[in-house]
Amino acid sequence: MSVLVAVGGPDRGKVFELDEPVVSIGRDESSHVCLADMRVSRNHAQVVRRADEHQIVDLESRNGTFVNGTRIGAGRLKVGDVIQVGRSSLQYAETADDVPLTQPGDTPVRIVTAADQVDATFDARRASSAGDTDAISVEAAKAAAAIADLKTQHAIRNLRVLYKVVSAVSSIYELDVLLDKVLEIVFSVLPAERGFIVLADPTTGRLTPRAVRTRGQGEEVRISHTIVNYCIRHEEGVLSTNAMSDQRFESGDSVADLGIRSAICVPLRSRQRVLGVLGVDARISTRTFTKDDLRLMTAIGNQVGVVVENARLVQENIRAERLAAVGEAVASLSHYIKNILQGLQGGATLIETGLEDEDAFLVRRGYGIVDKSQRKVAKLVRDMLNYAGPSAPSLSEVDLNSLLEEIIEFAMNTESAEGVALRRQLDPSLPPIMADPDAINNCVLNIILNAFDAVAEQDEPTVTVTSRLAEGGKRVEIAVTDNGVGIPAARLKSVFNALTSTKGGRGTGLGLAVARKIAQEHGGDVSVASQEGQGSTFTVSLPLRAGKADA
Amino acid sequence: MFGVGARANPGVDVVAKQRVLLVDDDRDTRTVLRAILERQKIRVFEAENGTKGVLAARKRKPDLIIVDIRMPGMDGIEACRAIKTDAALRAIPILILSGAMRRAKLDQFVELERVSLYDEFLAKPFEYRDLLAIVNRRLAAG
Repeated sequence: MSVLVAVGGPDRGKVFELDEPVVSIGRDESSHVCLADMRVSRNHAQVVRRADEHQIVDLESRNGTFVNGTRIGAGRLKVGDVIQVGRSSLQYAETADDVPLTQPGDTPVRIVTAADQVDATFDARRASSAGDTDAISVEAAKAAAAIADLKTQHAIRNLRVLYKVVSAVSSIYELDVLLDKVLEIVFSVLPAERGFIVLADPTTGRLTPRAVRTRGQGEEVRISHTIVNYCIRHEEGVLSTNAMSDQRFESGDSVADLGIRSAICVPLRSRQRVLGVLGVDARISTRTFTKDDLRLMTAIGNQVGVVVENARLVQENIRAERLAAVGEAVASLSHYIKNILQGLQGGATLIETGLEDEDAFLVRRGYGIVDKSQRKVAKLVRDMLNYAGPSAPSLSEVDLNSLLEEIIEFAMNTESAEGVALRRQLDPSLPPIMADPDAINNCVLNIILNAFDAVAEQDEPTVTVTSRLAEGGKRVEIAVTDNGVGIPAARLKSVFNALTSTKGGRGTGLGLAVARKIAQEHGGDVSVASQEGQGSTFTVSLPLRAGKADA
Repeated sequence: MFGVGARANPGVDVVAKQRVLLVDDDRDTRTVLRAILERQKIRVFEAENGTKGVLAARKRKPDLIIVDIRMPGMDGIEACRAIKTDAALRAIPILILSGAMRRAKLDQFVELERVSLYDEFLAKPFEYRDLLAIVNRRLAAG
């Protein structure tokens, strides 16, 4: 079976089977190929099966879909093609085994040293002229000698390590995973026995250890506050070969506890701020760290500081987006809520007046309004909670038709049902299904109430509720058809979006969104078909056993 | 006993200024307003949208019109405009009840009109006693 193998990007290593006729690619959770890549649109692209070939189709994504580097709208896929979306690369292959993955951290870049270049020049010159060999060999010898210089060797090593650090962690946004990786790399290049990374809280400045590592079992990592504080306050790296006699730490008790060790501590720096500290140490017998080690660690500290800042900014960005969404939600609901509050005011006023005048009729009328408002609030809260959090349905055996009867009866007693003719076409042979009765109640009720609103302006408002078996007995379907004005094709896609309502103050925009969410939590879905001028049908499709989507 | 059901009560309008027209699409609000106004021996007429409201204003010549403006839709504001630009109805004071639109925003519309669309304003949720105070004041005025 053909597959897509993620060869690059945050989801690198994952294999996606192309086992459906249409395989969706995107950031949205419902996508078949769900990519945790911020530069991928929610519904970015699709892979469509036609006969025995696959086509890639871009769904008007923001950043485009590319195949082998070329931007496409749609195209046929050949084995070996690499699809690029956002920062992710997916290779199209017959099986996953066909795509060998390089180790994370490997890069196709080779750091060319002076020695390589000298050798090349030398060969060329030797080939072109027979004479002057002595002069050339002297040059070559000098070059070779230069490479032998320890300093340059160290510089080259440091560069390689830095490259390794950056390429390994720059695509990790989870801070703790990132910091663990950094320590792993540090331990692979230095014979450290203990290592740690401490980060300062952005607001309080409080230091917390975020990663620790030891070589060998049972080593406890105790972090010297004195050295760490020095590092942060003076914003410079510290190399201490014998911390006990080091003048800088005179007042520190914690240093004495650590015994005689060699230690390096460097600040994690970004944009002139110190975000934390990276430290390693070892017993002097194992290793006495050198200035060169300090240089390397300092460079790593600077690099990691930038990466940490970056990861934090990404997280903040996500949080800001969520807050903005909440803000929008509040604004959109406030009008609806104000109307409910006005209803409560009115009802209460009538009750008060009725009590004063000893007019029971007024009291009853007022109470009716208060009760209705109270129900609206309850439903709103329920819908909001439903929408906000994932909820696992609590399953029991449900006789769908009798549940539908209950829902219909309730719905017919609401205000918006007035004047609406409700027809039923319930299949009596429907088997019981495993579902959450309260959740299904909520789901279907929302759809029926939506249908009532849709037919409000019609001369003969009619809503039909149908139940039937589908997909050869593997699923049940509940269809709600109305003879309203229908939904224009352009709006069909967004009809399930939360908080978009065309009903002004009377709608919350949550009803259909919640209905769909409930259906999906049961392993089903809600779909809509509509004809402008004629009406719409919303169909809830559920598997017989909730949660298990039948193949 | 005098109550909501006693709609046809012709003996009520003894005093000159005691007729109020409600233009509101929400049945509950109309119910409450009617009850508390009739309790003050005010004659109440209802219209459930802007178009019917303008027709009712012409037919009934109320002393005060209460208009609920809802968003979206300019129905309530259209009604106000129609009334305020009609020579026969212009003088009737209009009290606007608004849920979504704040007074500042409403006044922006008014500026564009160059004719005042309303005379009094209450933002929801409001207290019915405040509404009564406005109604009584307007009805008492000459």
